[in-house]
Amino acid sequence: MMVSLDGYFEGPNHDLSWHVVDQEFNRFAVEQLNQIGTLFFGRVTYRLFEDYWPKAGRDPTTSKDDLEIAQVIDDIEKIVFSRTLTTVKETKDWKNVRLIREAQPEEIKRLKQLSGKDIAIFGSNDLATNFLRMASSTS
Amino acid sequence: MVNPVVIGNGNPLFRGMTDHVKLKLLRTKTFRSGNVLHYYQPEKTRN
Repeated sequence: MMVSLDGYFEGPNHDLSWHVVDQEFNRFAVEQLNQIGTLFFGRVTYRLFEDYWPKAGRDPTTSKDDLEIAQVIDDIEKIVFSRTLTTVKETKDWKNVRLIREAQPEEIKRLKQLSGKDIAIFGSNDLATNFLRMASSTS
Repeated sequence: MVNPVVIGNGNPLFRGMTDHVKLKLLRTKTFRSGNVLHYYQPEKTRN
């Protein structure tokens, strides 16, 4: 999760243009993605990813780093947690997505055991807040 | 990951958290850009 020095995860109007992203960060992102079995998203971040990455993967002007990230993100298992969405759409360059409408601690534990690899939340402030609340109250 | 930038306005990280949660810092990774990634683990609270 990216955060500004003064503690914000997004600026006004969901502004993320202040993210400090360079080649070193992109390389780190790819390495990290390769160790992850499953990505968790909340609705808002999921929509950003769904809008951005399949398009970037098709765009010939996309940088090599971003093309690599687009490919890994397409391949990886993606789970969206949302009570608002009713479906998530797969296309030929946006695969391996499913929707879970209610985050239950038992279900998360089961997913973790199944995966064997790490599970990561990208962005998704509200989802991360819910999970942090769960993690701090279950023993 | 703390980005070396002050934006002055927006939505705070973990917005909506009402309880205090103590976290254990496991390690950090510093990037040349000035970004610092903090790896934390939540400490269990006994209810």
